[in-house]
Amino acid sequence: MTSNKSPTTEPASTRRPKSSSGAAGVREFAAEIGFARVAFNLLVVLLLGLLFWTVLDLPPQSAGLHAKVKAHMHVSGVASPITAVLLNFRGYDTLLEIVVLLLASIGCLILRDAPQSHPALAPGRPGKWVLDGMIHVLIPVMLLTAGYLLWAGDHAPGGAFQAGAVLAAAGFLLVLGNRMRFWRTPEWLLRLSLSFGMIVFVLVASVVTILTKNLLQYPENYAGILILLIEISVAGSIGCVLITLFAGHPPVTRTPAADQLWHSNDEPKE
Amino acid sequence: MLVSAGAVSTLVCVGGLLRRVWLTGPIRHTVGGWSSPLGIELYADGLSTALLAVTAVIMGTAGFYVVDAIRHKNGHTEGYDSDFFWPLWFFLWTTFNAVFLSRDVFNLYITLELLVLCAVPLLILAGSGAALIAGMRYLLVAMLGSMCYLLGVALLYAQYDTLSIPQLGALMVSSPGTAAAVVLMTLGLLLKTALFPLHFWLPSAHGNAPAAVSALLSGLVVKASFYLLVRLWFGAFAGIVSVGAGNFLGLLGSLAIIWGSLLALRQQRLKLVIAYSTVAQIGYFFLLFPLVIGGTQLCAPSDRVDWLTMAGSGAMYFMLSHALAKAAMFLAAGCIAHAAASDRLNEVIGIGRYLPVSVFAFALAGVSLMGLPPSGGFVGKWMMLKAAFATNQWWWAMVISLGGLLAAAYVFMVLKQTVVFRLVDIRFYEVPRGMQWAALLLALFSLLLGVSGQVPLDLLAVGSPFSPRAGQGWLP
Amino acid sequence: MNQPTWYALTGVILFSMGIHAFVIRTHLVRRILAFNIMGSGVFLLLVAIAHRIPGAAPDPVPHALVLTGIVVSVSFTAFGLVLLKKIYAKTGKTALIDPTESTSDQTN
Repeated sequence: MTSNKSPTTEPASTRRPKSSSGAAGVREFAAEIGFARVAFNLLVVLLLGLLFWTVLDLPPQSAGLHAKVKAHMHVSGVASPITAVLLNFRGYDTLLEIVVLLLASIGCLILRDAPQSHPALAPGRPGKWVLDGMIHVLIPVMLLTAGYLLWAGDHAPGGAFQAGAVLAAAGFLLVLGNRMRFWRTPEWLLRLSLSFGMIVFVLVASVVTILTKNLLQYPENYAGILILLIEISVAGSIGCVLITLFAGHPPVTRTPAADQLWHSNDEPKE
Repeated sequence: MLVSAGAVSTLVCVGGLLRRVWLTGPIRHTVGGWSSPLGIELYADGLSTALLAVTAVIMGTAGFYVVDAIRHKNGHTEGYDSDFFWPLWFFLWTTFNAVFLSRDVFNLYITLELLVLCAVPLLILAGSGAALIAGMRYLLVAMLGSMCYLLGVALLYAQYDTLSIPQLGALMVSSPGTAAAVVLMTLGLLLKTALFPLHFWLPSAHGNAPAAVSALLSGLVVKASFYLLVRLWFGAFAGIVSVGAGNFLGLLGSLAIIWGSLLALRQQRLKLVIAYSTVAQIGYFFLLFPLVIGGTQLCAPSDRVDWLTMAGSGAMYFMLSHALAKAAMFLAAGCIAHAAASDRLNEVIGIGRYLPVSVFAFALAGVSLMGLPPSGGFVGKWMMLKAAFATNQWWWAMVISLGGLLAAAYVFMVLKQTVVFRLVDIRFYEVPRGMQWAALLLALFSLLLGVSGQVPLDLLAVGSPFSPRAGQGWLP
Repeated sequence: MNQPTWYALTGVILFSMGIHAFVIRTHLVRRILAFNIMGSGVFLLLVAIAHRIPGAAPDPVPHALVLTGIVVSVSFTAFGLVLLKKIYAKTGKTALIDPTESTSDQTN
């Protein structure tokens, strides 16, 4: 693959002769930065101007849909307006969003290489004691925090995504400390944990659709418990997806040559 | 087994929906029982059901192609045998259905992201370095496009407190914020639709994917973002956009037709010829905008509704038949590449003797691209031509005809190579029969769309968005 | 000029900076970062939109949109980085190469 690739673009300055003075110099200068780039910079400035004008022109005192959300809170099954929008009023968006996460993890699984643990953090390296100590202290706290965030989502900022993110952070720590052998996870377990949230969500959606003849319309009085069920399973799956995204691909080993190669394309485009 | 069950059940559902829309008119469904602006509403009218049906036909047939390719695996399977192929395939199918039914600008944003996250992994299943790079380029373009679109959505919500396209259509007025939103959302969608000069990512993506995936990318994925553009311009933005803006899109479309066709003629690889042909054909879709928007001013008020509906339906008809024809072409190219173990044009010389079915499928699909009767492409182009003359915009008619000639040139360039008699006998790999017939089936469908005449047009007319007052919403 | 307006203006500045870097830069990590900066700009704008009446409770809908948007942007970033690592491992490149080159060496 690498054999036929030659550097396609060199910095403009290396190719063009040095500029003379006067009008010719200006022209040379313009040529050196490149006409397209100047035009693009102008375009971005124009866009910024338009956006500034837009922001200053927006209706200043608008409450948006706040009143509408508030009027329907009592049937939403939760007490936090954001959770109500996420999982009841616009629950369909959230269902699709869970699929987005699942697809990202599938994309990473397609690209995964041969299993290996993180070489930089193999057991017995210096720093092990610090890491181990941190794991002992932090993991229980993190699990507790995740549980709290899940519970808090009912009436305050929090919910499945926040809880899933904290779970994932705990997972990262375990992977870095070599406590979680990500690659030893049986394939079926990995796939089940990644898709569990979506499966539960789709099952709930199907059942309530049959019951109420409306996609994702929760039956009266069951909204709260169904949302909780979805949140718990989704939080778990989000955690697993994020861990897969993180641990599925060990870091590139750093050497001076590799560093140089890594930065070799770090040039502005012409 | 599971695959056929999934495909058949989706086909049955789409058929049921089609029947209901046909019999009772457009349908509205409030998700969760919450009507907009609080909740999300789904709509099914003639255009969306027609797209659902064509999607089902293409996904079903191309799925059959893949099943056959896996069953007779000899040599390379282009990544079809990956564990993740079928999940991605069905997620993609589901996403198409979600795109075509939604009318909520934010929900559509998520569906567009889903589309990319299905399409790019399917593309990189091909495994080559070129496919990885093409996938990366596609991903980056999609990222840029979706962020522009999302900013537009935020600006719309800030001004109108709603995300539903029909409601936006009733509320929108001219303001800097509206202009910024229209520009950003249109730009984002043009990037994803690959309209000239934003087409740079398309040929490498469509030319390097596994053949069945190329069929979906070219046949359906670019149509999804174009469909959204149509919904926005003739729904939400209907009262805002000017004739000049429509003409500008038409101009870019014309340039796409000429530039894409000329580059198609210069390609050395079969799949790249077809990919550049997609760049050109996308240009035709965009003639819709000047024909309808410009037509509003240029033709007499008495017969305005008729001509605008004709221009709109013609362009949509052309899009549907292009979806079928282009998918058929890529599947045929897949068979040819499978047989010759290469899709370079100088290595497939004389392959018609060994693969008559595939080459015939390619030719039939080519008939539709050129716009010769009795194909679906002919009906679409003919309606657009008629509307162009009736609304006194003859210059677009010139572009339409010129594009047909150029399409003929590159289709015959390929056919000449494949049917030429070759003295030196070269071994070709055997191609499973199911793969060949799948390509032919799709080509026949695109032909059938032309001979079925009035039926698809009547379907497209159900709740058509192209009448002058469409911006007021499709439903009472 | 109240506080949310300043946030909104910062948001659109971030967006413009992001779009500039996204197009001008070639290194893929930079471009993926630029995408995230664009995203932050949009999310900041949305949060500002939600809080336009001083003292009143904010509109929850933009907040929900931001949460969804963040998840989408995380997914794209992660997948993009993994793809980048694969491309780097396979071709030694951290930027996109000319399309004519990338398509010419491929047999199918």
